[in-house]
Amino acid sequence: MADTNTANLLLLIADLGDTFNFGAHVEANFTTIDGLMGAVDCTSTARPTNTYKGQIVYEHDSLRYAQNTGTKGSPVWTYMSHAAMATTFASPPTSGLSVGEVNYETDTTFLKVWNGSSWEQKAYSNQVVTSSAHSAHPFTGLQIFETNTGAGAVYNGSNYMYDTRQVAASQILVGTTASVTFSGIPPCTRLSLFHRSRLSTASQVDLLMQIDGNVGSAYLWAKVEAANGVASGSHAGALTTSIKLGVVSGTTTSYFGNGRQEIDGWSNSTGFMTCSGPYGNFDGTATDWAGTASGQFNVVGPHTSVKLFPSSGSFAAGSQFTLYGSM
Amino acid sequence: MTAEDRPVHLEINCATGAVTHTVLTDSEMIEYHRTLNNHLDQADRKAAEDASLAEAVSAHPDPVVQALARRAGIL
Repeated sequence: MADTNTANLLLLIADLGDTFNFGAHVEANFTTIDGLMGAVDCTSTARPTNTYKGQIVYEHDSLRYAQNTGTKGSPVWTYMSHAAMATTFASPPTSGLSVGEVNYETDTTFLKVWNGSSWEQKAYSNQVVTSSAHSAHPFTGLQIFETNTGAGAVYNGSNYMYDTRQVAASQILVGTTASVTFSGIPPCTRLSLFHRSRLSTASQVDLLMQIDGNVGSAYLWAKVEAANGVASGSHAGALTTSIKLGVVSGTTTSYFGNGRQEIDGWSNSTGFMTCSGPYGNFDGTATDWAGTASGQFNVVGPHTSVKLFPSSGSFAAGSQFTLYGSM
Repeated sequence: MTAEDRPVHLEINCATGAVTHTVLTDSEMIEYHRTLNNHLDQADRKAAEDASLAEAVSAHPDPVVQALARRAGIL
C-alpha cells in the first residue's frame, strides 16, 4: 500500500502460497531506510541513514558497492570490493577512494594508483606507439617503443630522449663463416658497427661491406693505413663493388683484427649513406696494421641490410660482429 | 668437401631475431676457392719478392739505400 505522504512509501509483499508473479519497480533516492532494500544509489559522503545490517548501497562517486556491517543505530559501511575502474584521463573519480586503488585510463592506456590525494603513475610503463603518434599526456620517466622505427625513448618532462640500442644480439661465430648479414635493420638515423675478425684459412685480407645485397659498382672507399709502422693511403678511385672497412687478421691463433664504423644517412631518402671509422689488426708480434677507413654507398635510403665478408676466405670461429642503432 | 665442411652464410634478422645459416652452394664454393687461391698465390709472390728485395738491398753498398730500406720496412 502507498502512503499519501509522498515522502514515505511502504511496500508489503506476501506470498499466499499460490503461484503468482509480482513485480514492483522503485526508483528513488532514500535518505532514511527502515528495512532492507535492493542496492540504493548514493555518494560516499551522503549514505542513507537508519539502515539495517546488510543493506547494500552503490556509491556513484567512488564507483563501488558498500554494505552496512554494523547495526541500524550504528551503521558501519564496508566496501564490498575494490572495483576495477576504467575511466578516461579527464574523468577519474576523486572522492571516496582508498590509498592503493587502481584506475585504468582507456584513452592514454596508463595505469594509475590513488596516493590519498591524487592519481599517480607509479610504474613506468613502456608504452607502445608510432613515431607520429605519441601519448597526448606524457609524464616524466615515461618510456616508449615506436613500432615503425624500432626506437625507444624516455620522456624527460619536456621532450623525448632517444636510446642507442643494439639492434640484434651480438654475433660470436662458432664455425667457419663466409659472410655475416644483418637484415631487417630498422630505419635508424645512424648505425654503429663493431667488428672483430680473423680468417680461417689464409693470411690477412680486407674486410668488406655491401648494403641491401647490392653487388654492383655502387660503392666508394678510401683509407689511411700504417702497415708495420709505414703509413700509406689508398682509395677506390671509382665506383666499385664493396666498401673496405679494415683488415681481417690471418690465421695466427688468438690474433684478431677489430674496428668500428659509424654509418650515417642510413634512413636518408635524399642523400647517400656514408661511413667512417678506425681499425687495428695484429697478425704477429711484428706484423700489424692500424688505420682509418671511410666509405659511401651511392644509392639513397632507406636501407635495410648490411653484409660483411672477407675479400677471400672465411671468418674463423670467435670472430664477433655487433650492430647498434640510434635515432 | 662435404656440405658439412663448407663455410656458411650467417644472417641475423634484426626485426625478428631469427638467425639463419646457409651452406655455400657448389658455384659459390668454386668462386670461394678461386679467390682464395688467387690470394694465397699473391701472398706467396709478395713474400718471395720481399725476400728477394731484402736480400738485394742488404747487399747494397750504399748505407743511405739501406737506411731507406729499413725506413720502408724492407729490411
